Amino acid sequence: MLGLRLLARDWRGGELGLLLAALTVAVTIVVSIALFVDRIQGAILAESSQFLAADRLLRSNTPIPAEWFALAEEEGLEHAHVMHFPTMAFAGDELQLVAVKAADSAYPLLGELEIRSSGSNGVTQKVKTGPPAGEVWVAPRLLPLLQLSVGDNLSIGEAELRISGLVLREPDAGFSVFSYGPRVLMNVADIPGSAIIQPGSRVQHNLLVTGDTSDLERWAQRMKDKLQAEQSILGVRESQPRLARSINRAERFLLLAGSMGVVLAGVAIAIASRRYTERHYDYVGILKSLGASSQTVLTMYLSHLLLLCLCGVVLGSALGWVLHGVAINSIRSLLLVELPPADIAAVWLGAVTAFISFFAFACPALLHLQKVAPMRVLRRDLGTPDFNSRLVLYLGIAGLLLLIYVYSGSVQITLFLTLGVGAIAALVLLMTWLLLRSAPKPGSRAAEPMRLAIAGIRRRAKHSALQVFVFTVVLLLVLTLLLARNSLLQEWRMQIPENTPNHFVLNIAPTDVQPLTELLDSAGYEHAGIYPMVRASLTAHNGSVPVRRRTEGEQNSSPEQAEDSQRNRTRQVQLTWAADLPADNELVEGEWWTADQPGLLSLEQEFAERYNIRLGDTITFTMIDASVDLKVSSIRQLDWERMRPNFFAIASPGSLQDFDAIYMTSFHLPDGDKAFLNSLIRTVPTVSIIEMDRMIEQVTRIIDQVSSAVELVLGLILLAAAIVLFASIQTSMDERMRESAILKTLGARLSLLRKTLFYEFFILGLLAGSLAAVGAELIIGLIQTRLLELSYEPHWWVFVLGPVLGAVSVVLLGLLISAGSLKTPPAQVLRELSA
Amino acid sequence: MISSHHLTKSVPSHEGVLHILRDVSFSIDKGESVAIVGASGSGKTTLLSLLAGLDTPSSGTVHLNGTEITALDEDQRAAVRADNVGFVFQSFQLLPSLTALENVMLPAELKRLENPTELAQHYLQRVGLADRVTHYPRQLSGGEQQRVAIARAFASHAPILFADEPTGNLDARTGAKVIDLLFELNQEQDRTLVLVTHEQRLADRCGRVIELSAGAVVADQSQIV
Repeated sequence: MLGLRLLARDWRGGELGLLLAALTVAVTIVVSIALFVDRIQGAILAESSQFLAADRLLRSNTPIPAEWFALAEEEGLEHAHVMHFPTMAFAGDELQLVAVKAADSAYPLLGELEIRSSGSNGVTQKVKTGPPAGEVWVAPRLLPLLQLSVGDNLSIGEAELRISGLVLREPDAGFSVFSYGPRVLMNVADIPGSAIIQPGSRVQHNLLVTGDTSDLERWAQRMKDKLQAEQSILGVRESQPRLARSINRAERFLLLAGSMGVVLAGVAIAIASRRYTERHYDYVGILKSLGASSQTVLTMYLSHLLLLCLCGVVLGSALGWVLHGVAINSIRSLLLVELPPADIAAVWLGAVTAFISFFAFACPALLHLQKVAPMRVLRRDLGTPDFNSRLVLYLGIAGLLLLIYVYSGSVQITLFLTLGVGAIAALVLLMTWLLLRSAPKPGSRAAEPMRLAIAGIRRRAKHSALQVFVFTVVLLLVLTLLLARNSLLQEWRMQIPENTPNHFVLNIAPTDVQPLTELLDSAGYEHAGIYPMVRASLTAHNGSVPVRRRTEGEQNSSPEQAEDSQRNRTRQVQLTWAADLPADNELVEGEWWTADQPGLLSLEQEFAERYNIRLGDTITFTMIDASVDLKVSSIRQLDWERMRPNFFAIASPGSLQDFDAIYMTSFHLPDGDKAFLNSLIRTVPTVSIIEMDRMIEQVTRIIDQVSSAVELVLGLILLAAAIVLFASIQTSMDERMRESAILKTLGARLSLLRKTLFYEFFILGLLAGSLAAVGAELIIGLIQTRLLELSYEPHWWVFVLGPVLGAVSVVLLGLLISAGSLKTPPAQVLRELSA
Repeated sequence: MISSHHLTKSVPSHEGVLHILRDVSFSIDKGESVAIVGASGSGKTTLLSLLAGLDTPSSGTVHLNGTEITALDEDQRAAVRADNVGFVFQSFQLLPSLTALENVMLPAELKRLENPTELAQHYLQRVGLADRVTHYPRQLSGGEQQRVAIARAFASHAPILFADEPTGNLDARTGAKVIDLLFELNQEQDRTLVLVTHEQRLADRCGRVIELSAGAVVADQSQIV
């Protein structure tokens, strides 16, 4: 009870404010980031799942057995059946190749179809199911092609189906394999009547499922043994590797940022408890002289701090809740899906953080406090116990490891942060101490503020070093995060730059190349080059059968690679020829050919590695009955993240004249110019068009969401960093104020004191900022290459930003904190500090 | 009430072992008022700290109200202090975050006495600070702070009172008032008073003066007050 009363009195006396603030900030950061990340991740995943229109998708080239549907039902999953195939659609004398999607009434399981009931002035609505039997919904551009309007009939095989609407948007538009023509969406019940599917027809059957994660896992596990080689189960990550990688990186970034926030909060707690302890030495000395035992002192302070912890948890959770709400609201407009409800588990995480921080960072200081000798009441210098700095260090490191692990659940991030920050911290501490010790001896003009500042820093060398160390760690974390965020955003922006080609034109006959380029030029659409394509088999490598080995990165291959790995099993390769090195390709070995050098081959690096092909090797390609031997003259690296035609194998012009080639190209079609596709089809009727625009739009939107999330989390971390800086400067304030008061009594003017403090903070901040810039650049190199799997280039601007940020933030906060005390009469300052 | 036998205190220093106290022996009876005097560095404050059990000697023993405190550990000594000892310090040593009333209540609370509030109010009134109970130390003058410290020392109901240069931080007039108060209360309550001072005026008010020089007792005289 006495402990409680003392706590209440302590609180009134204003002693506990900073410690409570630090604890509250720790919990606020953890709770708000955890809640925010959790809900955003949920939303992003939900939106991403719409790419499949389901949580999982079973893809098969053969009809799906009825018992597989039953199995999904058994596991409590909702399911839908969708078939994709290309076919000719008729209307009177007109005919057109269309991409049919036949779906049952459960489709789409996730997301919505956007349809319009009649022509261009009809009402647009979002629906949760496809057309009923006997009706079809078609892409608007099909109508002019077949000279039809809504309400007319369309023949698909033997079935006559009424066009009852226009389909504007499908959730899984980006994931259709046979999108070589305008969409026709029909009901799967009409398939038997249409007699369109014959033995040998190319049909893709999809079984879509959705449900709880655990049910989905169980279902996938049970299905695993039943699948044939050509059948596979896909989640959003497998179906959209490019998007998955972006989300994955964002998740890692948010985890990293959150972990850094937790580290910052830990530092704040450690600093605040150290200050609290130091201010309580006298308190304990007096209590002991009055007869309090060490046990009483320990119990009292433990209960104080535990209570504080509880207050911190309650306050921090509430603040975190509010803050995450504000953050969510600010980006709600970007989200198309319903946000999942907030998970109370985040509050537990906050509580666990508070208690781990408390035991790791505040307890050592507390244990120290109970050792204060009662002699302190008579002789202050005798009453201060030696600080067991090793214990503090071990407990601190253990706490840090535990905190980051509890937060990130990732051993990799835990080790990265702890080792990285630890190693750099040790180095920084040593360098700071050396730098401060060897600082130039100031000049002799007594009242010169710079001289007083340097003298002050040198006099408190150990404390100054510690302070620079804390500043450095804070700035280091902020700069690292800033760098990581920049490279992430830059990478994402580069992935889908403006005017990314969003339509691919395939199967262009040689005679169609010229009319097509003329059409594109006249319409003003720039294309990404017209590439000839020859599909050939890789039949020999230096005269022997080529041997393929699995590469490490194959698990996470890009869509192009994934598709190609299938072909590689039969060693089918899309060959092209080109006179110039395509844009975005980079030569890593050998030389690009000059004109008139037939017989040469340039290979993509990973492809060459997969077959163990080196420069100078001879590769034999076969197509039907003709073969060609090509000599490898260069190895290229190319960026699979870019949406443009990419080829594993490029031959020099003139090498493939014995083979029949067809051509392909891609171009950017602005939103709303869809009608152009019809004139394209009329000009070159035999080509196939793949429309990627909806998919690109979806990817862009998700990346926008993720970017906003990253920015907001960065904002929270900056706030935490400012609070740690504040706490750290606050700890040194008593000593500085005492000195200022003494100088004032000796007649120093306020402006001199202000200037002295300014220089002192400036030097400390500048030093910390410079060290942090070096450290951050080192860490970001590691993070970018190892954790985010991005390429690394040095950021020279950090070496300017670091010192500036350090100097400005420390000076501003320092002067802000000292402003009040500087104006207080010196007698009062001295009395308050000695009271 | 208090006795010391062959008390010595030595500490290692740069120039070898420094002897702060050498073979100090004396005893103080219940109700006595004793001044320990001597020049700066003669070992007065060290002797006080050993007598009160705030520190441990290098050799020798101290008995406090029948208990050999030199044989006890830190916490056991604290328990003996709680029951037997009250303090008045040169630098007052009030807890800055507690009000005057709460500071005076503290020893009674530590001893779990009944009605600590009433007790504290009584002694604050006795030292003339009834209207200052809700003030914090920083809101009080030096003399007022020392009066709070005196109230705290008596409120503990401890039979022995140690005072370390109680007027050291006060001006002559305020110091004189504080001294009057201290002796008045001491007489009224029949406590044993041991005070360290280098002020002759203060030593003259005590029934006995023990003089230290270079860590040894050079004079031990009773005097009529």
